Amino acid sequence: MPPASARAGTQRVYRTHALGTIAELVVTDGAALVAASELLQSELERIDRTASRFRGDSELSRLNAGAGTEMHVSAGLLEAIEVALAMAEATGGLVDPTVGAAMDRLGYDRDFSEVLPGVDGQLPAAHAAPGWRSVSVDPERRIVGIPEGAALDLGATAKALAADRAATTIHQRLGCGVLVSLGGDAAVGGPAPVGGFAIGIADTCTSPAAPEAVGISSGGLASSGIGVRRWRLGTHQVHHIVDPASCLPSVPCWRTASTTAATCVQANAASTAAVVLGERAVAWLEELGLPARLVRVDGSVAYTSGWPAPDAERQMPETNIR
Amino acid sequence: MRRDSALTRLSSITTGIGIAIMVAVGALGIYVGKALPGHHAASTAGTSAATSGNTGSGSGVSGAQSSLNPPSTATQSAPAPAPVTSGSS
Repeated sequence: MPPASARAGTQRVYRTHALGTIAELVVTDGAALVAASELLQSELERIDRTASRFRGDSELSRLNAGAGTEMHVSAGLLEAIEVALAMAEATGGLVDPTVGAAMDRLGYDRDFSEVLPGVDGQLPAAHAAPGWRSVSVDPERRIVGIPEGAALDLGATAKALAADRAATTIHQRLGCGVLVSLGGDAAVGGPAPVGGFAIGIADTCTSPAAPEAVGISSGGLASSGIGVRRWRLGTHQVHHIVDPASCLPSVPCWRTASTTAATCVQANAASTAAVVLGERAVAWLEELGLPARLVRVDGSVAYTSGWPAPDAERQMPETNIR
Repeated sequence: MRRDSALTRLSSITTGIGIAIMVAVGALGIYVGKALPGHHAASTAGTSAATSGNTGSGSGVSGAQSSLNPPSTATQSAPAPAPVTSGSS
């Protein structure tokens, strides 16, 4: 689909499709839009070539195919893996890149457009993922090893990493303030406009009418949810946020979780972990001091401290531990 | 005679202990030699991830920190509709 751009106040917006979703770019200097869009495209191609699980020629696919042996990887894939492992550690294993084989068993082993109509098969028995600690990394030699039979899925962090990288690069090269959003995972680079870059909050990133909006001036904002990437596996309805403890789709609690953090990567890890954690996520996010908006499957909304919720919707932070 | 015999036995024991120490030191030397640089053992992911930072990117991305931190500026309310939307994708 051809890219399009439109004016939004004093900011300029560029949109295109990439990584199976929508990519959006907002710059505070309209003259920098074309150059910024080229830098964004370069980053998108880089991350897709490196970390896509669905491209047979990607580095990640080659690494997964060689599970059980150690392999030399590029600096880009090494960074993506290290970030994924760091977020696994930061979330206590709630967001774990070793769920790749579990994704395959659930039928999500190809581009989502091919999975959406449904796939044949049965729900696998519950079992724990190999775990992020089973991945060996030698950063100096750029050698990575994953256990035999395991596969890495960097979907929970690679897109957010690309947003962080693109925002930082665009600001450093062009000097303007920038917001990069990849499928709703947004990162800020450089100076933001007064009130921050406005971002609508909805169940889907393609929603034309987000009921709420927040402004962020630094770091990142990400949303995770179970409403979009869901499909039928045999007779079972499944979705793409897998609990590493069971290698099955997480038990539905939050329809959508949106979080802001110091980086887009951290925001995405937190929002994905919240979906896995269920009701306990509110207390967990409060403890971390992360602003968040969480929408239950019944539509009720919970907020954590720091998220500017409408007064009528605000609820007291929940501390009940399931 | 008895004293000579005892001294001979003591000498044998001392020699045996000396040989045993030399063998032990040699074995330890071989073991330590294998642990020197150039003989890497797979590191745990957590350790490498926590210390690797911006490996290879130079982009200044701090995502490789093994922690979750709030943004340095407050999340503010903003008027809807906004030019960009965050949600599931």
